[in-house]
Amino acid sequence: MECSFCGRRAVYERRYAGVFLCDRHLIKSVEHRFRLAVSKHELIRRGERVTVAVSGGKDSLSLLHLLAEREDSWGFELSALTVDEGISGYRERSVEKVRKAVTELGVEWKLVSFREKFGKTLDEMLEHAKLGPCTYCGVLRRKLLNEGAKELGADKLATAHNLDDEVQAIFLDYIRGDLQRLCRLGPKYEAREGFVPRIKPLREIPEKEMALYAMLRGIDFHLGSCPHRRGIHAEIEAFLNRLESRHPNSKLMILKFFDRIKPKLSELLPQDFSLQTCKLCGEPAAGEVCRSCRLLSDLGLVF
Amino acid sequence: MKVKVRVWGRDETELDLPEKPTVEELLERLGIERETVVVKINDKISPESERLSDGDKVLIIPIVTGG
Repeated sequence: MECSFCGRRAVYERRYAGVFLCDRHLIKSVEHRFRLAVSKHELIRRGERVTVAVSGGKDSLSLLHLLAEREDSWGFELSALTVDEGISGYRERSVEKVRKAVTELGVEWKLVSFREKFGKTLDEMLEHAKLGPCTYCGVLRRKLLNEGAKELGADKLATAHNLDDEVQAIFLDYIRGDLQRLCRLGPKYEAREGFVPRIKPLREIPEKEMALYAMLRGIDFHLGSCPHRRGIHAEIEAFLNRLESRHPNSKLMILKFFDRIKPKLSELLPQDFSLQTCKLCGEPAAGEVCRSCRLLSDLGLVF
Repeated sequence: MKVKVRVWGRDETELDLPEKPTVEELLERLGIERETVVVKINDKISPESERLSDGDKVLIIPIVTGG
């Protein structure tokens, strides 16, 4: 197979566009879409401090490289933030990949852990958990990312959500009927008081293309599967991958259509909603106590 | 024809396949969705429409990791 643009050996068939890509054109295309997302949605402005959340996987380490290589020319300051949830046999390996990358790239790095902040690792929390692992991990990780980004003085928190992650989130929020969360999805989520604004520069790039990008660029990432991933998250993921295999471009069309109807969906949200301050931790909360503290209370970790 | 197939993290196995199958046909036989893996043939990343030859070494790398 030959690249549709230069005739070199192809590494990838982009079926939704009907083209074959060689290593160089795959890399060029991913970097073009990354730059396009940043400029189209004005994700990063000159003079800002940007913190990138890095787990050590292909997506976040690729985003770290993409940002670090443009820090000077785009005129922003970059730092990195990693949350160690305490997932035995999984996270310690990926944290080492992050340590190596930030050292090589010379990026300021902050590592925070569930054990240090909450007194227990995720694995230990799950011994007494009533809810699924992704609930504890997602809610508590978001809390630590927000706190850590604030401590780093970030104007923006960049996360490496790819097209697959974003479409899975649309389905999950739809199935759960969670309009609040659904309407927060997008290339950037503007700040409410107490929250660092979030940006997702890889949101329109398929997971497979991000994996190829990381491999072809020789980025040393952690290749492993979270041992807790199961249930509805995994089922939605499998369904969407089957759909994409049989009907190429489905994921992107789902995302694009969601972006079109989101302004109308947002009109359904209660307009008098205002944030309070959590009486236990002082962070922003939808009620008297934030979701993180409610989960931690159930586990007997805050009083 | 015979090819050696290894899914990343597992042992290599030798498979007897019909003449010149594509990578996609191999993945279907193994019950693996093409969207979830990157495939190397003789150490080179290859599209799923690539045809396999006798004696090829195939490495299947799962890319869906979660978290």
